[in-house]
Amino acid sequence: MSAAIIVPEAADVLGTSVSAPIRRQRFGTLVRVELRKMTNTRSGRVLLIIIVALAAAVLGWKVAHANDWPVTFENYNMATSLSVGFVLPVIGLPAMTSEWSQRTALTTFTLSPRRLRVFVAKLIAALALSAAVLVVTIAMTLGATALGAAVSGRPASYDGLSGDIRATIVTTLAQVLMAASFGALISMTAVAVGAFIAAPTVWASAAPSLLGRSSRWLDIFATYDRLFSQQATSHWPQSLTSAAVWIVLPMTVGLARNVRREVK
Amino acid sequence: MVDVYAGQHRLSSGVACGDRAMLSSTTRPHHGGMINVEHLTKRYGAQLAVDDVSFHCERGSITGFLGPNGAGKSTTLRMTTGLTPPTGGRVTIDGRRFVDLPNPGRLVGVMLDAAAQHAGRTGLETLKLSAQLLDLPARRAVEMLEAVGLADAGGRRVGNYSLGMRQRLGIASALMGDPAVLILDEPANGMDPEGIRWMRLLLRDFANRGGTVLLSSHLLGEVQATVDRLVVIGRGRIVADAQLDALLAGQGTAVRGLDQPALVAALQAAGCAVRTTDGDAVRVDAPAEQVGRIALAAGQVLLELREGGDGLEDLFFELTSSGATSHSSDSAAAVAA
Repeated sequence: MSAAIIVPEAADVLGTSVSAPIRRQRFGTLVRVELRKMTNTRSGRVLLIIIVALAAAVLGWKVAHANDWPVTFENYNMATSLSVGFVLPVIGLPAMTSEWSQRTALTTFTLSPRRLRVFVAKLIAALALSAAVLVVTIAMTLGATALGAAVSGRPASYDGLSGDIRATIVTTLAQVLMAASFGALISMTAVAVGAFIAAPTVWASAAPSLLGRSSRWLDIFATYDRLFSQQATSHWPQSLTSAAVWIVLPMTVGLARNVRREVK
Repeated sequence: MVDVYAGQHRLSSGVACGDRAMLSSTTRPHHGGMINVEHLTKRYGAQLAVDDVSFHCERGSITGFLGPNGAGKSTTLRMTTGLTPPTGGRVTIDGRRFVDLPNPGRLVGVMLDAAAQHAGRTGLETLKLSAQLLDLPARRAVEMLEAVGLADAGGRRVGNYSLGMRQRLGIASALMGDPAVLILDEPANGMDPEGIRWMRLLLRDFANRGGTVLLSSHLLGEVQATVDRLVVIGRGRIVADAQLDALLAGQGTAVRGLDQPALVAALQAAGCAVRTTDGDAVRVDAPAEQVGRIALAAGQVLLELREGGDGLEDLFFELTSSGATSHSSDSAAAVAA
């Protein structure tokens, strides 16, 4: 596998000195580095391609069958969200787990020993990248809506456009945070993804028989539904409680462990 | 201070052997080191992995950190670089704890595991990330890649690199920030002979420029050829901390003559303790100069005369076997006093 290596003189390695001033690592640098790390590996790129390809496939199908449904942004956005919405939240999860699963922790945390800053930078990078991907998929949805109108010969409706977009972004970013919190808590990527998908579903089916009506306080799906249907403020104490249990709690426990964990 | 060589100059003729104290170690002042490890302790439950470890590494020197597997070597290196919180004690680098350094990579180059790189990232991209964290331009990453001989492999994913290539990449990353200190765990592991020689020259050059190197290795021959000073750890405790020369001098001298029985008789007549070894040579508890003079006085032809006996390997096992006594500077000073 290895190519022939031309071995340079040792002096070549040490011959160049660096004059840039030594400053405390800035948080912005950490965020930029983490953003870059999410997009410069093959697996990271594949995930982004899958998300965009999925949106293209679903929207293409909508356009091809434009006569079967009303040509509204709301309707097309629902299709995008139901498909992309399953994959996109996972965008930030590998960033939380990969330092341990890829053993890069040894390098990352010797270059940046204040680990909490690194993990917060990861969260912000995950939110930023998700927002950027959402901008792309929402633009694709807008384009598909217009295309659907052209294909079907019916006028497109953009009623409630800004509300739909806002709801889509808020709901998706909440799910991104939840996936990241599962990644922080469980540092094995596959197990964390599995838990992120399965745990709330299992809970949603089991909780009502265990807790009765009280289970709604811990129903994160109902919270996402309210966010997405733009009734974010209805039942807000229940929404906050479920978010605290499904997002804030695993995130806090996970980060605390990651910061203290011994790097081997 | 104990000067091991002070005694040797007095031994200009056949003087009696047996003064072990002079075969101990030189000491250095216990302050002012670039790396200061002070009473470092790490406890895992009931097990004491690192037990009150103190040593220091000076500017312009290469310190070899040796010990059997599980002796606490890697734990000590991890505590030095802020990866593992110590139970007690502390390590400072240039007066500050690693985690308190404003941008650690600009002062301390670290490579603890060459495999600790993302397999899915290219070599160049890996270095560009480091450059960004160190506030250096991306051009620096290209320069370093060329400097370690990986210019042609920069576009390939690290997962396809051989171990030797990953070591080079790790070295490039460690040297990226033009550090004053290098901390390396098994840097020559997986390298071909050419790579090992390259690494040795590189570290020597780094130290000659005033740099401080702390490295661990299991390649004892390589350590013997590279380091100035040895710190040996066994079962969590320091069992030796001295100049390499001094420690090896304590191993006596290997000697082989044309007429071996006559040579041995001459040495024994001079009062030297002579031990047989696996090879043709015998081991004498005396400096090479004295052995040579005894041979000269007896008219014996020498075919081999080697200070340090059978070298680091014997010393290593002697130091780290159970029941080994401490060879640290402090106890050596006590013996000599």
